[in-house]
Formats: sequence, C-alpha cells, structure tokens
Amino acid sequence: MHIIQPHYHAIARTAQDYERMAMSGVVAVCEPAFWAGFDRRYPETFIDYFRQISEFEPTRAAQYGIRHYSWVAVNPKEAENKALTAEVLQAMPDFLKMPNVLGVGETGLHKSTPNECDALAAHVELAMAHDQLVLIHTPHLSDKAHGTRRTLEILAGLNVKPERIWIDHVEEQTVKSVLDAGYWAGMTIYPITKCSPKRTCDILERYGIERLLVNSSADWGPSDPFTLQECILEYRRRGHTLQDAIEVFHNNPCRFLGQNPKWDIKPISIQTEN
Amino acid sequence: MLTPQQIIDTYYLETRCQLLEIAATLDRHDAAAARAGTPAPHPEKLEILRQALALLADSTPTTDRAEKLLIHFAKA
Repeated sequence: MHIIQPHYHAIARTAQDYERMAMSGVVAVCEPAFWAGFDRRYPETFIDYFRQISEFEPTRAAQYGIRHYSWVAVNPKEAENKALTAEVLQAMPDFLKMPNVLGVGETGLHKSTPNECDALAAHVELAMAHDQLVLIHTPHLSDKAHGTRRTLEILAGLNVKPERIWIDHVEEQTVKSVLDAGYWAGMTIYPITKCSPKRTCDILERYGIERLLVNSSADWGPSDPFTLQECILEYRRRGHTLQDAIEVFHNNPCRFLGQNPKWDIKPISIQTEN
Repeated sequence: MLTPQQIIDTYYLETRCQLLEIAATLDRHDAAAARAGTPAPHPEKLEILRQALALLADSTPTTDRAEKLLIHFAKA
C-alpha cells in the first residue's frame, strides 16, 4: 500500500532506509527542521541546513522514487538564543517560497521556558502572516503534559487557523485536548519513548481517525522508520480494512499537507471489481 | 556489573515503556468488553496477568521475581 512518512529526519538516515522504505510502499517523506544534537551558534548554520533539506535531500530521495518535502524552523532547544532565533526567523520567508517547503516546523516547546514560548509565538505568527502550515513539537516524557497545555494556551492567544496547525508527539494524556481545540494531532512511534505501534492503534480506535497523523521515528538517536509499517501491520491485524489503513497512513497526511498547494499527492481509494 | 543506581538509570525508560504496554493492553481489553457489552467468556489468562502484576508490586528485596513469574505463568 502507499504510505507517507509525515515526519522524517532524512539527513540523519542512510540511503538504505530510503531503499527499504521505497520497497515497502513509502511514496513521500516530510522533513521538519530538527535539533542537530548540539546548539548551533550561527544563523548561517541554519541557512545551510535549510538548503540541505530543501535542495539536496529531495535529490537523494528521488533516486528511490520517493518525494521529499521539508519544513523550516529554529528548534525549541535552541530558542534560548533569542538573537539567533530572530535572525533565522528573518531568513525563513525565502525558504518558504521553495518548491518543496511545506511550512514552519518543527517549532514548539522543550522545557517551556519564557524564551521558548516567545519563539513559538513568533514562529506561528510568521507562518500565519505567510499563509503557511505549522508543525509544532511537544516536549518529551514528563514535560509533555505541561508543554502541551502551554502550547494550547499560546495558540489560543494568537490569530490562528487551527486546521492548518499540526501538534505533534501526542500520547494518551494529550491527544484529546489537541483534537478538542480543533488542531491536527500527530503520534510518533519510537522503539521506547513516545507511542508504540499498539498504543497508536489504540488511540486511533478510541478517537477515530479524523485529524490524526502517524509518524515513525527517524532521526540520529535510537529510532526506527519502520515502526510505521509495524503500526500498519498491527492496525490491519485488528481487522481494519486496507482502505481504512490507507485513510490513516496515506490520505490523512494528504488532507493536512494538501492545504499547501505545493503538496500534489492526492488521497486514494481502492476499487474492487465485482 | 552495574550499581543499583546505574540499573535504575539504565533501564528506567525501557521499563516505563513495558509498563505502558501492559496498561494499554488492559485498557484495550476493557474497551473491547465495553463495546461487546459482555465480559470475555474465558478470562483466566487475564486473571493470571493481574496476579503477576501483584507479585511485581511487592517491594520486598528479592532476586527471584522472574523465576516466580515463570512458575506462576505455568498455571496457564
């Protein structure tokens, strides 16, 4: 079946991942801007990184027939550097015009400090001013519930279109508040942290599939892009039809990302002959 | 060999993940029972799992929890 990886840090992964993803049905990956594992000191470092994910990485994916899209932002972990954040934000509009850049992300919160909150608001305002989609990271582990509440509070104070905002890394304790506020919610499947394939299916069954996205984990840490396929197998094993799976793992990403006209992959439906 | 603190710090996230899976499994069962409007006709294995969780909840120092669980599961 056709699968979309909505949240994939390709520069941290190998060509073999692209090859195996292509062989297992992945047709597109979306690469949000990410933390490099250390705090970058120069705006130029971000600009080169944005060039890498918006110019070079699509060529690497294309060798395997996979479409590659990207997002630009200052990572929440680096938002404590206010001067750096301001300079990168100034450079971002040029990248928002690139043919494969879908919006602003991943912005969001890490420790929910005042500087992080200011940076999140600035990113969202920039996105809304340029009619862009927004991808918001929520904090890890014990910081998640508080960080998600703060994110929703900050968004409530801004003039936003909830249907154009995707709040990512939800789990059982945060998914309802995000959906109730009208945003899209993303579940991210890691080998140990965040969601598991089974818990992701539980959430899909409990809340329904509307405005829910499912990501694998794909970065430079312990992660596995094929957790997405594990989740699809679990979903199908529970008796959901192939079309049900396509709705979740292909069509929902198309519905959210297709709000940006640069995204031209359309929802698909399976037809059977009588 | 690892110190007690190293054991906690090394295996905390992995064990947290395993406990969440157990919690989700029990939630999944209860949601299915609510949908069906009737309990499982043969809940013996579920009861064995619940008894296993009770065994793990005992904080008395011991080094034979895994052995006790295997003996317990042999009843299934």
